[in-house]
Amino acid sequence: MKGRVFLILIIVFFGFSCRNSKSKTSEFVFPQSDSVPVSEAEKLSPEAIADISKNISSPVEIANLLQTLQVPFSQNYIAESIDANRQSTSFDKALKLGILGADLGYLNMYEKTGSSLDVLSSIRKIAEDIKVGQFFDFESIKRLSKNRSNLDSLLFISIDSYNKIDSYLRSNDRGQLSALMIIGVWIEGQYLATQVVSQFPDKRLSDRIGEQKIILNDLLLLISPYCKRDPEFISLCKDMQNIKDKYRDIRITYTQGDPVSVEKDGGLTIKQTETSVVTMSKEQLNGVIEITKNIRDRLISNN
Amino acid sequence: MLLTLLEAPILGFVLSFIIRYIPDPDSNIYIFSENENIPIYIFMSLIVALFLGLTISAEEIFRDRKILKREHFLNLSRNSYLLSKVAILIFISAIQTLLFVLIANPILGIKGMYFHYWLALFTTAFCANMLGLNISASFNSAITIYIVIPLLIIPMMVLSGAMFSFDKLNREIGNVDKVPMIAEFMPTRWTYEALIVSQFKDNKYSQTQFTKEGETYYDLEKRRSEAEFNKVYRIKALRDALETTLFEFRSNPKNIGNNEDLLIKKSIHKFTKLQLLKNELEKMSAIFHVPLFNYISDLTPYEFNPGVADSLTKYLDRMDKTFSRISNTTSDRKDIFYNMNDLKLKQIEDAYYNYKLLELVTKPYERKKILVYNNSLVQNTDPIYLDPYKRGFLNFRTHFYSPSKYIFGMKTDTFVFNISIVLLGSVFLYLALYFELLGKSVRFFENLKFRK
Repeated sequence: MKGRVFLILIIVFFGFSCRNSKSKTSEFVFPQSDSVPVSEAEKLSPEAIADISKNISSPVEIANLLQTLQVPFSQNYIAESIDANRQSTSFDKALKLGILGADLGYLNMYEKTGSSLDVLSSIRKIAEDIKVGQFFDFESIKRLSKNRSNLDSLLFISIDSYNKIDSYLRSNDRGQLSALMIIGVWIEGQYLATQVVSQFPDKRLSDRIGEQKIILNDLLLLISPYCKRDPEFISLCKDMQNIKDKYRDIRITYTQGDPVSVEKDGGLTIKQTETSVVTMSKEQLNGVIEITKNIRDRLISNN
Repeated sequence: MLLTLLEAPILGFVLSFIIRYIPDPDSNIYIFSENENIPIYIFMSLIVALFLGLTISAEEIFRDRKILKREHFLNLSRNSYLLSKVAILIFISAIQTLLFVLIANPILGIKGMYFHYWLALFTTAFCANMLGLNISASFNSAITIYIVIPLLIIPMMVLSGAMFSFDKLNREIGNVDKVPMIAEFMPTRWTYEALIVSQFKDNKYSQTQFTKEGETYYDLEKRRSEAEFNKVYRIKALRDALETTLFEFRSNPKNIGNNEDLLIKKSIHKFTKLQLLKNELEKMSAIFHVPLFNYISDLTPYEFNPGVADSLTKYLDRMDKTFSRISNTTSDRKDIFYNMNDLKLKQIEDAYYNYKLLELVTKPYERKKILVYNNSLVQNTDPIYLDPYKRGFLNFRTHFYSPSKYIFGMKTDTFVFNISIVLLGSVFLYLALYFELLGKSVRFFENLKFRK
């Protein structure tokens, strides 16, 4: 009797284990050939790229502007739906790294240490995964984010880190990830600015948004070598193009002023004054606000 | 009897019901990948098996001592008596652990792998049975038996690797690149590692074929981890070591002179990193199948010179590019397949792949990702993707969460190896029981006390 029970049990176990065979390949679609995309020749020189990276407002600067305008902090602007575990492709990871970086800057500005630790933890996980974690000094960032007066140091660290990451990725044939990070930072910064201006209309802020037209051109140049790479990039390039279309009729004119000598840090520096005048109607601004929100929300919802 | 059989499913139900966690407060849908309690569940289920195994066996032989005394004159075979006990215990343990797995795993959404879970739990329970029989046969009072039980269970819990990480223990016990020796004697250390590694590596998502050549998701992630670690940490460490060696070479003023003097004077030259360079280059070539450095035989205090250093620099640059290429290609292949099948893959990922487990076996928050120990470099990150280095014929000791083990020169799967070792240990415990080893040593110590 016992022997028979044993036999039945053994058969049942084998039945269970058989369920674990490798998934049938017929369920999945495989790429046609070994079609790993060949990285196209970079159309921009490293110097040009460095220039662009410098011009794109660091997230801390954007937050600084918002603070100067005395805009109250709002948790709603943070991309809380980004789950560090659910970023499956390197495209997702690099883009979210940029977006989260911008959020981190925003949180640090308002000294929201609790939330910024969460974001920092996500950044760390994602950065480790695409192997740029070694360029972040997480301990220093954590320490500095506790005090608003450390803003300058934070700014320096963030720019410094991003520059190192950029040159590392580029020298390892992963330039597209660096471009994605920059775009992530820009989109989130743009989102923050547009959301705030729709609640607290201010000429300085809307001017700043209008000036992004120039940066937008640079960004498009930055990612154009990669636009045909895979479906994710095709979609992103289309999104950026759509934003550019909304900026088409917004005009920026520059008037040069006289150079002025300014004392800074105990030394004398020459500062070139120039003022930009942005011509943007309310409808145009609303168009930019709307499309930024749509695209940004869609990008962060890919969880 | 009924209570014995009901114990396991009741515990299984209670345990799994309590830890069935849904992170999103607005959602009613349970997603396996997001339950952070799964690794702890694996540990707790093994402890349950341990407890069950010990408690049903602890009294077995002790209970019979009057009968045994009576039957002593009948010259009955001790072996058949013991085997009959063992057979009953095997049967009960098998049923208990089966009921446990059948109830608890579905509640927690652990799909498939029933056989793995049952086997790990059964092996633990069986080993505990043998242990319990040994105690039962060796002590004179029931109370002593019940005092000994926690003395056994607590070390097994503490040294299983689940509660306290092995690399964060007292330095006297801990080890840099291997599991501490004392933990190797705990059956829980083996079965816990077996289940964790198996759940991570053998689940349906990890085994999903991502390329036409048959590489699975786990294979691709492993290759990516290896290439990236080599590139980011190992090669950098080797470059630093080379720089140090070159500096040591140059800072010795006796190196500027004629050749005869050099030969004599170099022998007292102190090179701290040369052996490390040699070891690591050999290891790198053997494990990752990259060509060996041409002038490796020149990495000795006598032969080393700036020319060798220059060649080594070029070699390291080439290796850097090679690993970079491997990492990029693997990452791209994974991404392409994912983009083509994202909906289906996401479903499978949600149901079969656990993120907390991923965090446990890849140690992403570890600060020191590479360590220098004993003239070699030790990888302290992504243990689940690190194959052990073949050491000796009988040397099977590795780091914790290793995906494979080496024994008798062969590479074996961790789950198979670990379970076999525990079963072997159980056989050894049976022999100890047959020869009454524990009983004899207990009486030996008791006699010592009387003599004093």
